[in-house]
Amino acid sequence: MRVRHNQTVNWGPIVAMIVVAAVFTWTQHRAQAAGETALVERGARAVVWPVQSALVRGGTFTRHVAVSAYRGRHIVRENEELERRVQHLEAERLRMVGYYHDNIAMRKKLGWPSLEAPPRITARVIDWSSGRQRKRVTIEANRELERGNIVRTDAGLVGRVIEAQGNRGTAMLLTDAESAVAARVQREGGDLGMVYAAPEASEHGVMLKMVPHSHRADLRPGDFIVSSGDGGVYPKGLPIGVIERVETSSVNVASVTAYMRPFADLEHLDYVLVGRRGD
Amino acid sequence: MSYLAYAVLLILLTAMERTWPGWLLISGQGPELVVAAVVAIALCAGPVAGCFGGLVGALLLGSVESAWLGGAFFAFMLVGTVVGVLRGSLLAERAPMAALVTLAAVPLVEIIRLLFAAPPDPGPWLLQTAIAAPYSALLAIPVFAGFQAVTRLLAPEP
Repeated sequence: MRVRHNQTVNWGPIVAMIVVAAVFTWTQHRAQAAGETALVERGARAVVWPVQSALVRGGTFTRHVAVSAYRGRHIVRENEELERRVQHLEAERLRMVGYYHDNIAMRKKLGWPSLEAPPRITARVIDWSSGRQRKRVTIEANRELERGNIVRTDAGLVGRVIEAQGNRGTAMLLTDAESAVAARVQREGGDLGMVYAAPEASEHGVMLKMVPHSHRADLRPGDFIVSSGDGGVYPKGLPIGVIERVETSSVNVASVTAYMRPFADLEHLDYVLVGRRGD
Repeated sequence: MSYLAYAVLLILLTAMERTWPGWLLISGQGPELVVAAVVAIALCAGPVAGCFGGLVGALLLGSVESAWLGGAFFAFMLVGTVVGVLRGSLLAERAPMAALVTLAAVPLVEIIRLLFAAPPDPGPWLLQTAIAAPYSALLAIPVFAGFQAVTRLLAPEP
């Protein structure tokens, strides 16, 4: 049965909520102008992010249960194989620990400063931005994150933390429209330039572009691009990608742009490594 | 009390929208559950609750997306208030109606938010909206059922 409701609308609370919305928008503007995150945004994230984290964990657990139920027979065999591998890796690890201690002892004898391994944090990706130009992920680590932390995988650079809130934070990927990385070609006397997102070249997967600082730069397909460390945002020597093609400007033949494929799989990030700028 | 329950459900749906499993995405696009929730609240409880749902939904989603809150507030609160005003007269308080309204509300919200942050290429935006609207409309049915149950439980009509 169709219900007829009282058509009188109480506009008072609606106007009050519009005022609240305007105030929240104004506080966001003010905070952004100061390079900070508004308190209301921090509060909203503090409420939603733990739920997202729980959903991601729950989803992973459910997937594991479903897979194990479907592939029950093979799991035992796989487990045995993995146990063998773990034993092998454990033996390797003990060998490496031995080398590490030898290294420390030798450095001490030579009077060199001690070399401590930087503590890299593993973080889980719990959110993907759905923006068309804004390619960002929310990560959750087991330690406190800081703004400016470098995010990478074992394959290569991913981006950096632009907002941190406890052990969760937002990382801007290399494919974000606002991302820019000072880079160089990994060759003797390799050219310097800036690496940006290249959505215009992404028909066949994720692409980045390097715009060299100098005209007549020597960029070749197959060149490896690494961070140059200029500007101090990213550390020196982090692998970024490999050049696939070089295009010459139709206006100025001396001006070139190199399109590269990133080493890190920026479309499928489940876990990332987080380090400090100086690491 | 019902408003608190709406807020809790909105938190859950925002988190679900943002962590939608990859194998359930259609061409990389998931449903817009918060829009479906705002429509459901407005249909179940009227314009004030709809506006409240829009306020909370926009705050949660806009904050998690790091989007401009002004555009999100305008789009979601407008949908919540208009649907709430029209319920009973033009819009019946039924699940299929929630699906139909969501089908129209998703492109509307996207267009309003587009006005504040235009993409360089409208092609992908059109495709994403064309997928998100029916996908969200389909899921608006269980979302509406959930909000209807909560409304009947916590704010029964006389």
